[in-house]
Amino acid sequence: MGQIDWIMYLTAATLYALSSVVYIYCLVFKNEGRIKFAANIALAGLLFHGVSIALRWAEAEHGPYVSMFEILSGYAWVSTAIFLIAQQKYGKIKIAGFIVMPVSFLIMGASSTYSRDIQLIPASLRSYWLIAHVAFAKLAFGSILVAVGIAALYILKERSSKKNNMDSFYDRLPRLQVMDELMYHFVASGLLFLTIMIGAGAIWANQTWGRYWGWDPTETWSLITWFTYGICLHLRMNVGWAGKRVAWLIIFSIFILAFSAFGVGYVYNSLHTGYLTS
Amino acid sequence: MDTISDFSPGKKISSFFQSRKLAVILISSIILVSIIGTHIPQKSQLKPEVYNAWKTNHPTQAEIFDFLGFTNMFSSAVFIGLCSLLFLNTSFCTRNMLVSALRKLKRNQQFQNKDQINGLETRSEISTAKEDKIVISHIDSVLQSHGYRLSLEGNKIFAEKNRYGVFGVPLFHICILFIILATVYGSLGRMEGDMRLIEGQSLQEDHGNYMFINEGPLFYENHQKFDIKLDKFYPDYIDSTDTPRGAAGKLIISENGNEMKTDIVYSNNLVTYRDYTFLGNVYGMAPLLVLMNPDGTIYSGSYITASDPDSSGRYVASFDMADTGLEGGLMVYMTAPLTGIEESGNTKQTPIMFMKIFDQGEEIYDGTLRLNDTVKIPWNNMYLGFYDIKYWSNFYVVKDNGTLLVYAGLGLITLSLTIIFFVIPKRVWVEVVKDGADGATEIYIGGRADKFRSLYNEEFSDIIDKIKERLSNVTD
Repeated sequence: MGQIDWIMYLTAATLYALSSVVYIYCLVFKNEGRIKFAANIALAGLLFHGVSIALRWAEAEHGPYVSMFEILSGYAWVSTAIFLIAQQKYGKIKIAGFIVMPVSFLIMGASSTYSRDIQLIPASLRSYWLIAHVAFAKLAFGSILVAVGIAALYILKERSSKKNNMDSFYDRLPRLQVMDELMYHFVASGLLFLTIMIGAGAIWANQTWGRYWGWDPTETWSLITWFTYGICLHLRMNVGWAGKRVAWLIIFSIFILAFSAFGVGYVYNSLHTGYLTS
Repeated sequence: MDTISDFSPGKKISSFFQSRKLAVILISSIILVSIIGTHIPQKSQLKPEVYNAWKTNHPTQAEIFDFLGFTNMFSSAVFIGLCSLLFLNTSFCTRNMLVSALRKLKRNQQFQNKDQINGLETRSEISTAKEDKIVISHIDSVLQSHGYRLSLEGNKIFAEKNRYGVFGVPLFHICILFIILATVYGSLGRMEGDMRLIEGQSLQEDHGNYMFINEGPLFYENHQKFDIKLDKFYPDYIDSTDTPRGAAGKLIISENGNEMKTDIVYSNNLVTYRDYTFLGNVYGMAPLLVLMNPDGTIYSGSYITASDPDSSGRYVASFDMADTGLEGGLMVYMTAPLTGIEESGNTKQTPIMFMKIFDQGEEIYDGTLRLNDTVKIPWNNMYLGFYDIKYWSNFYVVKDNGTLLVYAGLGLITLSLTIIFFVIPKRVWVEVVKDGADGATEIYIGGRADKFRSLYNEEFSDIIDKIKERLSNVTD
């Protein structure tokens, strides 16, 4: 079974790569005709990826939250799934796949650099709170990644309209105001998921270490991320920021989120280091 | 122009703390300070030897950071000051938000006429030949199917949904205040300690089993109303579902000699009693060493707690031998004999101990002992016996009455964010006027959402389409 899930994984990664290429081609050459094709390839990749995760889950007897290979693979799957659901609901933002799919592919690539050996679930990880913690971290990342895709589209459309050369490609994207609200919507969902992620993590930490918060670098960075998105929304709701400024802030903030999720374990000596680097 | 009589320090302070930009500045500062806090080694998070090594290697940095309180960043004056300012800022803003939400709740319960509706950003007009009563009943039905609650006044309709969504933002801010207060309350009355118990041993009255105890300034209880005993230790515990749980300790809690609770502590399975939580921590082996006089009487004896620093299964300890002035070092591990004695499916393991004894720094003994061995040591003709071995375990004991409050705050924050972003107050105003020259009925309809107004336009268009569809399908 180990080989089959790996073949499925590689197939999914290939399809993600192909989908990324088609999305980028559509954006660069303003070719709308292939966007649906790109989304279909992404969907096929998602299915193969889902089967790969399910097979490994059955073999390992635990979900994708123990080794870094599994965690990153789960991030890519959830991000792609959220994007495909979002583009189903808001059809005009399909082209946002030019951000989401390459990122998902890169995460798959990063995931494949870690050991694929199935690790027994350590006693400290046997908690439903941990499952909720990891699941909501992935949902948060996926939602915010979609927001980043929309933010990038917003900036491109806005630039195009400023130059007064609004071509039909950008014209067919949702109105700027709608895109502004959509990115606000996805960041809000991301903040909600981050809150649940931090809450579940706090309960798990209390069960495992006897305190719900200890200013461990990973915990601190998750709070920094939460504050960052809190500021994004506060500026949008209460200080009158909207449009391009918020779009840039959302794009910048994902680096903080990514560092918090994937980078802290490598830079700091953290209680989470063992979980986040192996 | 302001006059001196207009100047009010109270108002100035109030308007300063109500500033929404102040919140951005404070949160950004907290982010910055937190990032610095993760870069500078923190005393509270590092083992003393690691922290001291950093201090030795970077003496100037360490001195400056220590002076500024940055080596304890999250309890430094700077950090606590910023959090306190944020608390004040949030308090002032929350009061305003609550007042504004209540005002909004009252103000929105109004009917509007066609002129007012025409002033709305999202609006539409429908003309029909149907009777106004029939028109109103169809509009009612469409709005109800979209989840709106209706009020009627003559030919005017006021419909709204998610009315209480206006309380999402104030609730969120109240939750932030609540969590900060719960954290402060919890830490002031907090008690934490590390209790070391050898199998079969109970907590001693004088706190002798505690490796350390930290008590908050408001912690006042005598937390030794009850006794705790480590009844049995399992280095590799497997629970009733055959799930490996790692190291586990069976604790018996008793009060006045009565057994009150028995439970097994392992990772993610805490034992709580009277608001105290017990968690498994490090463990090791404790050989019993007995020092005997030349005539065979006991001079002293105790279990020496040896730990396994490199997880190799070899437990090491250094110790003083009572008041003899002798010092010793030992390494003990469990081994299965080559003959492999089977005992109910498990290979019986026996301990082997390597020991050295020093007198004033000079080695006077170096030997191997098996269980129940007695050896003569070259010091006052005394004997040393190795007569028992047990497991010991540290239990982290904590009492924090703020924990459940913080959890409640986190739950409420999640709820409030859901309300803010997904329970958006939406209103629709309608006036039906029979004013067409040809006797047609004019429907003036407008709507507004508190957030995501562009996305709301889709819902509004759907309402208009459905009303038109209903009106075109019915016959009078």
